[in-house]
Amino acid sequence: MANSTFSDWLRFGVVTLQFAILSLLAVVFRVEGRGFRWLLAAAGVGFVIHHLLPLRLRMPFFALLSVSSMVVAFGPPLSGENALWLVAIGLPLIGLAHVPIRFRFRIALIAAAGCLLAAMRVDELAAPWSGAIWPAFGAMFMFRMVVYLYDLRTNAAPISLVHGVAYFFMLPSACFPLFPVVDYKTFCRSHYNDDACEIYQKGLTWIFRGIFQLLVYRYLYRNGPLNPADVTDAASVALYMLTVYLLYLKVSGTFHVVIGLLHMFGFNLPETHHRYLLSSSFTDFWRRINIYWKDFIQKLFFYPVFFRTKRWGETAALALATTAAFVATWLLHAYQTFWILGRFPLIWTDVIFWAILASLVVVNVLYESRKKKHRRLSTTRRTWKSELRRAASTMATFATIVVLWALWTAETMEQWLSQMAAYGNMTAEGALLIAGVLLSVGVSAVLFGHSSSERPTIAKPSLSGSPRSFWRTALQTGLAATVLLVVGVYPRLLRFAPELARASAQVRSDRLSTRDGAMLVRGYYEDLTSGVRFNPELWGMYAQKPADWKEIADSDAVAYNDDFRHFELIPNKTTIFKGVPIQTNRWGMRDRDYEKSKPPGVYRMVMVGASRAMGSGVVNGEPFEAVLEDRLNAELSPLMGLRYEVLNFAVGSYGALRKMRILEQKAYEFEPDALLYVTHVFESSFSVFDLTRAVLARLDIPYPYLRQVVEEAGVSPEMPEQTVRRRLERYGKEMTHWSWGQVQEQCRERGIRTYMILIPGLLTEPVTRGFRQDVAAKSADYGFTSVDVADTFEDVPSHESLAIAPWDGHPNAKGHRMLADKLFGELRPYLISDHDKATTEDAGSNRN
Amino acid sequence: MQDQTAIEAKLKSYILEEFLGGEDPEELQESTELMTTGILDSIGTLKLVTFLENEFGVQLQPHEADAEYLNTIGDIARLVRSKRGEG
Repeated sequence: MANSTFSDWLRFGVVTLQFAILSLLAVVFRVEGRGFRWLLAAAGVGFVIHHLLPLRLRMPFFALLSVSSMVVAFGPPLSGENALWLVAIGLPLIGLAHVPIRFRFRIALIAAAGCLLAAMRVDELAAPWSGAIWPAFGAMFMFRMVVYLYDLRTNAAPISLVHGVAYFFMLPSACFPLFPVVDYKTFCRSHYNDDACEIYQKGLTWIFRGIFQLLVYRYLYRNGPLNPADVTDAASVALYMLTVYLLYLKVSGTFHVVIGLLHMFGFNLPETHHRYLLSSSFTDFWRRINIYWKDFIQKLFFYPVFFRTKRWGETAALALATTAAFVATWLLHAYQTFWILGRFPLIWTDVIFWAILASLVVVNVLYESRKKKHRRLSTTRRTWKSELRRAASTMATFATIVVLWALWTAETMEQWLSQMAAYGNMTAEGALLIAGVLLSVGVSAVLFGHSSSERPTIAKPSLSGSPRSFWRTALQTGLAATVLLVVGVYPRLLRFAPELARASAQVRSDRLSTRDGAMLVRGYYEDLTSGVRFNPELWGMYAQKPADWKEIADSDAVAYNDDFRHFELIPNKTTIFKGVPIQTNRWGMRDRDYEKSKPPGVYRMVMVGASRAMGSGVVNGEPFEAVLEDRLNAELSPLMGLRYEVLNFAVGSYGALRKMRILEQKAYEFEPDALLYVTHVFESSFSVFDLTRAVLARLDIPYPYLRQVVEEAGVSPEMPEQTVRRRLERYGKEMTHWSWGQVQEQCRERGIRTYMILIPGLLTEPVTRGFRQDVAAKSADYGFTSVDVADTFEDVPSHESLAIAPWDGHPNAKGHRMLADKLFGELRPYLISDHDKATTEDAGSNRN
Repeated sequence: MQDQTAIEAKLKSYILEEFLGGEDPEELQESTELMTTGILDSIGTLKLVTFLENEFGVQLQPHEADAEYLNTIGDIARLVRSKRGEG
């Protein structure tokens, strides 16, 4: 810093200002998790201090900042403990790489330690630390250790404790389980290998690019046609497949942000993605998408296999090396999923996807190896013929990759085949859409698709690296970020363009889409680990979920039987569930004790529902049912002269069909005056789940209507669960409404007042007005009194503060209190009016 | 035994022929970056390795197929010479 000129300080000031604007942008648009936004703030302060330090102290400072920033990244309550555990596991692992024994024995030692940790990852061995650290541990060590050992073996880069700590714990690893595979040698050698402010400015540009891509991703995530069930013709399938492919922007955006951030600490690392949508061949695609992965595989597998087999001839060696690269890629993706999600998925669609892509790339590699490539040193020679060829090959590559990507991300092969069959239903709209998209890709390829290897190398002095280049890039990035920030802070500035304003509001929300909300809820009852592999939102949540975070069906609070309900809560059971103690009463309700016969002077209500009504994740006395009961007795009893009882018959995962069953089997026996039937936006999916479970477990289905549905849908216990579920999905709403009619009929016979209570979810988008109106109308048709409390959480900006965990959208005690208060307000007039009516009738009958 | 200049001449001729067909030989300098500019991609690098082993009788290691060793004609010539114990 001693030789810094005024110009250097000015540039540093401009860089710092842009960094602050980008950090604010991340806050306003709620980019990634809270941990990352805090880390970004810490990195901003760290950046200034780091730059002011002498060069020799910058790497140690970065190492220290990386380790300490883990505390911020993890967030409370276990932030410090988790960070300490990561260091406690990580340092000995790094140490093992330096034990003074033969290199192969060191590898064996690290492999043994890896096996031990893997056993802990799947709970075969008890780990003394929280399961929340596994994704971060995976990001830090699963690939970096391999690269580190390779470079250690080949003496490729400086080795020291500081370098090791900086490399393995590099920020922001703790925030991103999916982290680019940074090469150790490049990490070390690129450190301040250029003018500092140039490096920073490049990083800022990449951070902005990354944030922008993440916002585009979010828009697509909320608006894109992402439901495979909606695919019916060529237009819908083309849009679906395109959107699924474009969701990869989440990965490329994240990687740009991550590598951009590392630039702010002097690591002049290369680009992670380069216009991969405009790849002109399969090898070109492989080289442009996730370049760090390609380099990792090339270094560890492609080159070594080629060198070992080259004695068999260049063609054979290239084919073998390429095949090895893809086999390794396939297996290492499963290995990555293992460390992050705790499962090792070996899935057919994966195998087929990688096999097809490998074959295409092998053919491409062999073709390229035989054909002499002519790069240009001076001038580019673009001709109509060459550009048309580029456009055509880019369009063909794009179309093939989109279709293959859909295969890779499909839940089953059957699902992908049915999507492909939809192309048979070609409409004029479909043909125009496909042609339009491909044409845009072709034109973009000609305009922007030339890769760096095709550009002239020494044609003219590049602006890059010159002061003019710095100021130009700073102006572009700073201006674009400022405009986005202003629009984010003052959304009303977009009043002139309502659609743009709507899009801006959507991308500011970090909640799950309704569809993913349904998936998250489904995940409470099904193992969706494989299904969410390509869903970045749920993936992130699943990655944080501790392995011992069980659902009610897997807990020791339930007993299984052959009845249609399949399982029920065990009476008088005390256990720990979702981290809190819960107790059931002698009747198997998650509630305090009640007499079976309704005592005199009591107004008794029974409640049926699923996990939110049962109170998953809160202790007894905290579920909204219990809080409501207390409030009724505290505030309404003195007025009404009645004692209120609310008996909670809710059981996690019960849908409309099993709620009806528990009413018939248990709840009516308790002589209720009223029924509180708790429903939610996913009720139809739960009904499907009820019947799917009954079919697969070969349970007796006691209702002729449901047996008819099973027959019509053609489902049987021998089928895979996904097939049964998919076939029953179209009956979900119909079955739900049928059961509402049945319940209403049963209550009418018993003189029970019925309330249909619509409750909201957490971490997901608000329940739509249309859905709320639909539930109100439908329940009124069946004779329920509709009580809509779906807007209870709408004014709360951060749903995370009301959820029991970042990965679990069940309300915490505060959320339950809010629900109870809202419900109390809604029910109160009905209860008073019913009481007044009953009193009047009693008085009338007494007079008579 | 060949000196640095002779090796560089052979390399230049091979690179012009294999990867830069039709280019003006004057444009290709011993310091022209080959890997970091994409003139040599991964397949090109392996073809160059095969050429070096056949032409100069040296054995390369996988980790040497890297910009550190093969980025310029000068680098490559130095690697060849060091492999032959001349550097």
